[in-house]
Amino acid sequence: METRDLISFTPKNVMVIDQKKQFDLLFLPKNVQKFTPILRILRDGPLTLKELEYKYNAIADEPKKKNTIYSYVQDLEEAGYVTKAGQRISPGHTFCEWLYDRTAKLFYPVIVSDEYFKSKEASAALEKTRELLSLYLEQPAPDFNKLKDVVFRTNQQAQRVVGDVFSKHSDEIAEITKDLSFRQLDKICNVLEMLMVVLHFQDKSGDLLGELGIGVKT
Amino acid sequence: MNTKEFLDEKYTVKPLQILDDESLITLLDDPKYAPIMRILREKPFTIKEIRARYNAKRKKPKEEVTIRQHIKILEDSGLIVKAGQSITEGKIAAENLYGRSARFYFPVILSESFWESDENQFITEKVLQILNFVETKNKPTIESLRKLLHSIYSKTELEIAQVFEKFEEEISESLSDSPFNEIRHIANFMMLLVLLTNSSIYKTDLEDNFY
Repeated sequence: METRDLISFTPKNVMVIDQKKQFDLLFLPKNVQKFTPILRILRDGPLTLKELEYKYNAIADEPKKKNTIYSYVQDLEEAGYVTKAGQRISPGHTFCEWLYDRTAKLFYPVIVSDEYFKSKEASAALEKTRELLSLYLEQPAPDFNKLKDVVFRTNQQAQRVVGDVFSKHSDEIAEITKDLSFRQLDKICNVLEMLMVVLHFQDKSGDLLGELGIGVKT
Repeated sequence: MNTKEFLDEKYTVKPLQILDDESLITLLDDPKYAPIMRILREKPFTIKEIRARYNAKRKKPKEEVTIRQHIKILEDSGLIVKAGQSITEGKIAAENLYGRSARFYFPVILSESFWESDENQFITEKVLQILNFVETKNKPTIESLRKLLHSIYSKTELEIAQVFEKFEEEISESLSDSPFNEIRHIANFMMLLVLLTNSSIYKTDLEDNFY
């Protein structure tokens, strides 16, 4: 039986995530497993809830019931990541199914709170980074909290600059990035961030390292 | 039943393997394969043993044929290798033992090979177009931007790789329990910190470009 789709929404290219609630929903480690499969599945275009359930359970570690997936979709919709993009109708039926889609091809997170750095995963990673850094510099490891602070601030600053450009020039950015794959968009964001780090911190790197109590390598 | 394991003499676990191939990074991130890599941290196992451990925490157990397929894919990618045989008394058929190729894997974001690809040209062009919206004194040309990016990424990652080579044992000890996701964060943090401590890596290129 042939179904018909009425699509009334086109996703944006880039959406900057700078609200704490929005950021936490998608990027805190405890939420990653829940929501990212849905957004990943929707990369290929709008889907009904039934299709979402089927594809979710094909890739997720733990199978989920339709109601659970529906509640995830609602959470994502409320946070602005997912939207009703259209309707699907089957011949002979008088009611439609909603089609869900991502609101943007890329969600660019700007860290607005240090909540993320309080997570277990980030703390463990930072702790190991301390050890590596100490080996690298052949100096005692910097204080954990100071390191956290410096990493947080530099990341935040770089992301803010990139995020600002994306928000202020969203039309131009959409045009520039229109044919890019998800992976390419990801790479470009990464490159831009690193560039912003070196641009903004190159003359301040001495101060930052001073905070950490480590010397600049010559 | 008496079972004995024989590890191949030439099977060695590298303390560390640097991953610059994106498809391998994707494999390690994949929830289908990650548990297998985790299980093999302990020691090499047979497919049956891997399957029992894989299914221990799952609501919906996976068939042996599925696990076999997963292992085939990991083996083809070189992340796991045949490590030896397990022989059971009185049985003619032996089973292969599978082990990890390295104790841990460290991802690099834009590897040396990336800079030789066509994609590099394309990505650099897009970055240059977006940079037009960032206020800087001068605008770089595509050639000079590429040179700058190359020094930022390749040289930084080279620095990190050298630390790993030098302190292979210590680092492998410290990171061997970390899930791959955590190692990705560490890779990002290290990249940032190495950049901060090494402004000499990119200073000249940066000044030629933007100031």
